[in-house]
Amino acid sequence: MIRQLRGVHRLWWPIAGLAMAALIIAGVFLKQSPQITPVIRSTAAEKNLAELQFEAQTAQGVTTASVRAFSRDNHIFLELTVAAPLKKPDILVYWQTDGSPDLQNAWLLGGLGGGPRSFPLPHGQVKGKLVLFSLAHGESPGNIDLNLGGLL
Amino acid sequence: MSTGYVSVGWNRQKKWYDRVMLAGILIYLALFLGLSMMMHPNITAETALIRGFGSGALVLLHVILAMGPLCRLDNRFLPLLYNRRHMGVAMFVMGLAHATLAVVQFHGFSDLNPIVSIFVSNANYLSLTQFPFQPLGFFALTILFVMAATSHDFWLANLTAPVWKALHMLVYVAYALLIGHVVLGMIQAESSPLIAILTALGCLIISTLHIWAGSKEKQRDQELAGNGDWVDACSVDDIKESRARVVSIGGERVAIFKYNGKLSAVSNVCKHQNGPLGEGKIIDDCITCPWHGYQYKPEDGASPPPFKERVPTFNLRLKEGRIWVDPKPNAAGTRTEPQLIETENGDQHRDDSFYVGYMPKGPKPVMKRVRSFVVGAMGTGAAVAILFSLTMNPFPAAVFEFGEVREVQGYLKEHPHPHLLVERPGEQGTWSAWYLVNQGKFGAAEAVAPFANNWVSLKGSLIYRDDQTMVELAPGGVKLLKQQPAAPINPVIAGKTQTVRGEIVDSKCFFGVMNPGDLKVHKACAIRCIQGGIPPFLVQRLDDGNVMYYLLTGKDGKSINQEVIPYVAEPLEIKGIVFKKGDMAILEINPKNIKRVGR
Repeated sequence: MIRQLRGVHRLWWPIAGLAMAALIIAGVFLKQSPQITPVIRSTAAEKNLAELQFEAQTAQGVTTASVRAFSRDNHIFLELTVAAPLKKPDILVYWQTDGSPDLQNAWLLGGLGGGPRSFPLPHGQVKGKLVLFSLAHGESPGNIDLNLGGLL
Repeated sequence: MSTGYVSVGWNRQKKWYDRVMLAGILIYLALFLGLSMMMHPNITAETALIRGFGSGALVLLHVILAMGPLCRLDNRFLPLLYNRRHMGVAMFVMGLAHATLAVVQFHGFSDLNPIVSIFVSNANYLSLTQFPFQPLGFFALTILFVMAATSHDFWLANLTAPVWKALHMLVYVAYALLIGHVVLGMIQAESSPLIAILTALGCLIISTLHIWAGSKEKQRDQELAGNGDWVDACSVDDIKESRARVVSIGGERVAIFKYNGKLSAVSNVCKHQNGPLGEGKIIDDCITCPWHGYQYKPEDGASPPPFKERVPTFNLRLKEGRIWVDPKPNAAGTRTEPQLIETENGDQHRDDSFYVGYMPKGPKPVMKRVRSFVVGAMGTGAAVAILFSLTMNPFPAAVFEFGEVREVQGYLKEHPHPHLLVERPGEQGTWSAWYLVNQGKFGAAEAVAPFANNWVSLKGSLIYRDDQTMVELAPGGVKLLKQQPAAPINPVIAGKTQTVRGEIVDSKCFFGVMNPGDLKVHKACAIRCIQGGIPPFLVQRLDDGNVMYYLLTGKDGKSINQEVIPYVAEPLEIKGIVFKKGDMAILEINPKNIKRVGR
């Protein structure tokens, strides 16, 4: 019996070793990686106007958010990037000019995504406040005053 | 060894063995979990534990599987075998913790039995890369369970050593299944090649050690040529005092011992676990097995009273300094007259490199080897824990406010999937669409149907990632508002036909309930969720770090949950009409236009 088991052991390992090696090689070479789609970027010339940073509240603490203002095709855009995810639900980006405590008269620019996002400013707007607002939590994680008037 | 069954016959070495093993396991888990939490702040506790227990169990299995062949190649490693069963049981417990968490997380809370779900959720058995890897883990764990359950000497005695040994050799099958489990699971999802490299390295080391040890054993089994009935085994001088020479005769290994001016021969196979008695030593006038210290008197192969184990004996003859063995074994426990020989003075204690666990202190060369193995195993484990935790795919910021119930108000829409329109502040009067799902792996279609197209107040927990928000409804959490103003207008922006590349995910897990909630490791769970009515999304990953989210519907907004199930968690190219309804991006498709684009 013991010799039989030793025979099984001797037979098993070369076969299993080869089979496992083949499986690892096949598994690595046939692996399907997730696809990354390149973003179609505008070819129009951009002119950088300003780059500013402000503090934004995350669920755990504070992070840095940066705003890059640039002009393209006679429009002003704000590109917003946060250093660490804010981890707050439904974060909306507003442009506010009246200084009121609520956002009823503010312009909604769009939603904040996982990566940098650009928002066109309403036509003719150069001075105001960029406000982040979490709709589901009803709170503002951060804001920054911008005056792009002298830079155009 | 003991005359009756006790749960564990503790002695100093067993206690130290278990302490060192537990310390190794705790160091591994602390390193892996600590570094994972530090380097990946978005990782969920369940994912960290699943990966920590799973990888730890696999590292431990490698350590266990290395011990056997190392002992065959160098008997100074033998003390490692003394309490190896405890290590096996500890490894099974870690594997069980991994499996329990994974089954609850990926297969629980649906309309199917979680164990059945392991086998049927992902039924892609004909594809290598999409092959369901969890059944492999299930079968491996079943084998490890049988081994752990029968690890006690009670089962060894009742099953008999050869049957027990054959049963426990199934660990080799379990190992191969676990390699398949890792290759077809984690390796398919992780972008770093590290896990593949570590798995290949582990597999190479274990296979090489076993093949090497097997070939050495084969040499030992070379049959000695017989002269008539008796076989010329060796010279008296070939055997060290108190030690044995093992020869293979008539299909059996025979251990010929030299001790106190005498020669005796017994079967080489210990009654306990079939250990190699010929690699043992005469201690207290008894042959002592090197594995667990079982003892037999050399003259009759019987254990000293009160023990009852017996091994067969063999008759010997001496001719001109050569030892001749009768190949016919005597019945176990039969007394044979030892052959008398002349011994030199001081010869008796020449070899002191023998140790079994119940002896007070091990000889230096043996302990040095054991220490080097322990340090090597712990160092390897620590390196694996560090490298694995540092090189895992990044975990996105996806949040499930589990246990935190909020009350929100809005206009409830039933189609294409239940969602709540929540008014955003601002001049334009726009609406956020928050998808609604039920607890577990279930959509909310039935729960919200009576309230559809009405203003409601609902209670639930938020789930969110990027600009997508979802609410898991609390039971009975939907109520009609008394005031029912006019229905909001959520403008539809006309769509155009597009081809979008991405992966189909179940939105509930992807938005935050699980992290990761995509790729191969999450495939079975995503299938269960989509089958249960969770809205299926096509997620398109962009090279600037953003993700585009498309709610998948059939023509006229009809649910196509069942139709997309065969394509979940694979790289796809889908042609359909993309249109926007408020802030919802919808991809209206014909399932026939789903194309796999992976290799």
